Amino acid sequence: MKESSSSVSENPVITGKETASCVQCGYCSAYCEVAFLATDTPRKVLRFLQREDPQRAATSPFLMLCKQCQTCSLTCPQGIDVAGIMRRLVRDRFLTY
Amino acid sequence: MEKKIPKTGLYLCDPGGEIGAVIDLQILADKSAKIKGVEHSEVAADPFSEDFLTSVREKIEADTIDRIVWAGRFTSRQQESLKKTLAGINLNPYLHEWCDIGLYGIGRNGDGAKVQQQKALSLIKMAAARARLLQPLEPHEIPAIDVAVVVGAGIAGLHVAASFLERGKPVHLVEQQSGVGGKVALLSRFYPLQCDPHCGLEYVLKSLRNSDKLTLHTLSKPTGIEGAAGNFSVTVQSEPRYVDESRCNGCGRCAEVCPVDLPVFTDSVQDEPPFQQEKGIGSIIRETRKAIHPSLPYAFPESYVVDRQVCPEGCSACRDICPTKAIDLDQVSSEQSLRAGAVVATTGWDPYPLSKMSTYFGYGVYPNVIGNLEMEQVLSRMSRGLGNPTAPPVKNLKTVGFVQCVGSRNKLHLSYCSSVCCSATIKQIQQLKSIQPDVTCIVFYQDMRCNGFEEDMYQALKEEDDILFVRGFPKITGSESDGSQLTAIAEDTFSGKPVKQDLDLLVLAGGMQLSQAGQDFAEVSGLPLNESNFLTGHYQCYPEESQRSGIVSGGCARGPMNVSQSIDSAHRAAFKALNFLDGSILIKPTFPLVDKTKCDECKRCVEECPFGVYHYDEKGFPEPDLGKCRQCGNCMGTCPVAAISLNNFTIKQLAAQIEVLENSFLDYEEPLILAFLCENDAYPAARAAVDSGLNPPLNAIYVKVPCAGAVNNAVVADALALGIDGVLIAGCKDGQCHYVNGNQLVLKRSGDLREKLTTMMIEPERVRSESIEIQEGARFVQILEDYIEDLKQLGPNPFKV
Repeated sequence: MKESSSSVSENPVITGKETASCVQCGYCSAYCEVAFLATDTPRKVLRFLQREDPQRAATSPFLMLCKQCQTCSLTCPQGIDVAGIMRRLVRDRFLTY
Repeated sequence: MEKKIPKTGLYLCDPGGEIGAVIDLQILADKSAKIKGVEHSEVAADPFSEDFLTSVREKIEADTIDRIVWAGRFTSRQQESLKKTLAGINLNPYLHEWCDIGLYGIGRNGDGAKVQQQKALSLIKMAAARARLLQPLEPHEIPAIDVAVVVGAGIAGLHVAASFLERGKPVHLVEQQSGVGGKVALLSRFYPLQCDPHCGLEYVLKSLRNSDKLTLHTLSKPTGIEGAAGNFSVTVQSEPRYVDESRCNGCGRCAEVCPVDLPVFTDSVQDEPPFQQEKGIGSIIRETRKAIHPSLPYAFPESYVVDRQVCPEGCSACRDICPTKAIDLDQVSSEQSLRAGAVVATTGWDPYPLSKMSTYFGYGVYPNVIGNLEMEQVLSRMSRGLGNPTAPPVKNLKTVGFVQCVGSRNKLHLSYCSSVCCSATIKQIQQLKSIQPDVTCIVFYQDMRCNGFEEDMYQALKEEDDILFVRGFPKITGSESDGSQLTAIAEDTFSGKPVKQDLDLLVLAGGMQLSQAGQDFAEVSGLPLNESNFLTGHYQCYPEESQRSGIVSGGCARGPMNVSQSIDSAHRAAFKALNFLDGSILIKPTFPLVDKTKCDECKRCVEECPFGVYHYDEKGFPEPDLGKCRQCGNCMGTCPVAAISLNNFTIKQLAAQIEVLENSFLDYEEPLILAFLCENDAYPAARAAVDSGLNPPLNAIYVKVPCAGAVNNAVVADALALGIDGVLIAGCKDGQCHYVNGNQLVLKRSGDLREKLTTMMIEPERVRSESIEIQEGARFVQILEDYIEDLKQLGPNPFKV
């Protein structure tokens, strides 16, 4: 894998397709312990990914707050692994910047 | 009886001159006259002129001809008109054969007229071969009972029953509760008019109350449905009411002395109480009732009913006091068999169990969290001035929260939209505001789906200041010792900002699912449920019908609907069922016949019939139940020994057509394709191709079939053995077949066919199956052209001469 050398914007770890089924219902934000401590909520991070703005998703201040409690993944009505997406975004961020 | 030699009359009709412009019709007529069985052949200038018809009549009356092949383009109305005209002189309508030469693009393509002249002759030879084997057929009449059984006496069932009674048809209305009304009787208001549902129930009950043709079976459910359309036998199991309906006048003296107090909306016959959305959870309604009580949920029949399971042992207080001696506490349950022409399932819906989402919104955990059906009762009590019935009573109802899509549109619960909850919430807010104008409402939603005119209700509410719509789902926490102080936190997904709100009451808009009674009905009737677990026919083309003729479904048994849609659906279902209640059912003579001398009782037809038509006769042979049969021919296609044929579309007729099919009109290298086209989609597509000016390749000969699944492997093998280069079977797309899955049955059988062809030393690639939609003319031509290319690669059929 050439992951370590790739930049977020050139080669996003998460494509819009993975988040395409997100309907922006806000379950993840409501049940997140830390959602409203930063300017972004988990729903917003998913929105950035949906809108093909991986740069903004990967640099969101929310990622540093996420405790990986998995509640968002469990509550998502569309069955999206939201916490998994956050984890991969954080990992990518450490490897890129 | 002396066997008659068939005498065919052949008429070439080309009033538009389309075909005549390319080929010489007179030569075609002369050559056709030499075909075996053709006694007369001529070019008819105008097949509808009186002179022409008179000459045809004379020939039939003189017994020069006894069947006719019409070559040319006729619309189905013209065909019917000719059939009807000639039926007047005893020419059976099934002794006509139609050969549409223009369908092949012959009239459009001027090049190589010689090929086309020969192809036209080939087509006529095929038609004549089939015509020789035509049989006169008469419709089959089976006696039918004019009684209907309606299962479920909710608003839909009542409307169905009323429709039947209006037409003078006797009705058995089977209801599992002690009274009629179903879910509607539990509602506080209808939308959009904000009427009282009891008024709506009274309206429909008017025609039921005084009818001597209605038999109402309460506390009853069907346990078996045997037979077919026109002649069902429905077994109904009834629990006792313990009150003689003919004697009870509903005075209520019994209830005064009854020592039992039960939560109001429980009916021990049902496992799940109809009003309380779940037993033991969220039971916030304080009202109680007695063991003997009026019918529930709506007091029709007017007689009282005893809930014997909660009676104290040895108590007979009600019986002792009854002034009309109506009470008999020793009644036992009974079973009876009802004869019926049609069965209507209006089994309605159940609320999705909200406890499954209790971790989100605290239903059953916090006392002030209720379902929307419970909210209906709260509103009903409040509007009648009886106060707020919740326990603990929510005295100061200042802020009420509503959550939409609880259980619906959620892949972990119900994936579909329950479609009525948005408007129901709007309606509840309207009523709440009219009772208590100072209340603040907050709606947590994902999308407000107020369809059609209901949008006006939504927009009117949005303009009010103290009604807040928040797009985003809340997390609910309860404080105080009993959790009665609720707090909602949600993200307003438009702004990304948190919304925090204290609530006095939270109402959950739960989803709708098929009722338990509906699931039981599906099991009893052997009908499948669709992927959303509702009863269904073909979702668009015959929604109220089912895979068993004579059984229809209406209302919420078919899917989430509001009251008016439910009544709509009920009337459509009743209309469909009326066809079976006319005292007799006329069946088209094109039903399947089993040749019992050939049948080896393999039971394949019994298994593959999409409508469960086959049963066994006394000798163990399969026999179709004509009342159930839709005449799709899938049994004919599936029979491994080709022992089943549809009348007027027999294996013999197909074999005769294939036998005379000549490839001489094409060069040796040009592959000849026999295309079996489903008459619903692929055949009209072929017509569309020509009508849109395309020139389909001349290599194909079409055979119209009722369903792709009706093509028997034996016929395919026969065609290939006679040197035809390729066989195309074209059916509908997956899930669109009018006969459930005819197109898939073709694929299922292709394994057997491969094996058979391999032993015959024929490449299995010579058979191809395709799915074509009705308007895909261009694609149809493309499929043919591609197939011709592939067959050229393969080389000519080894059996080709």
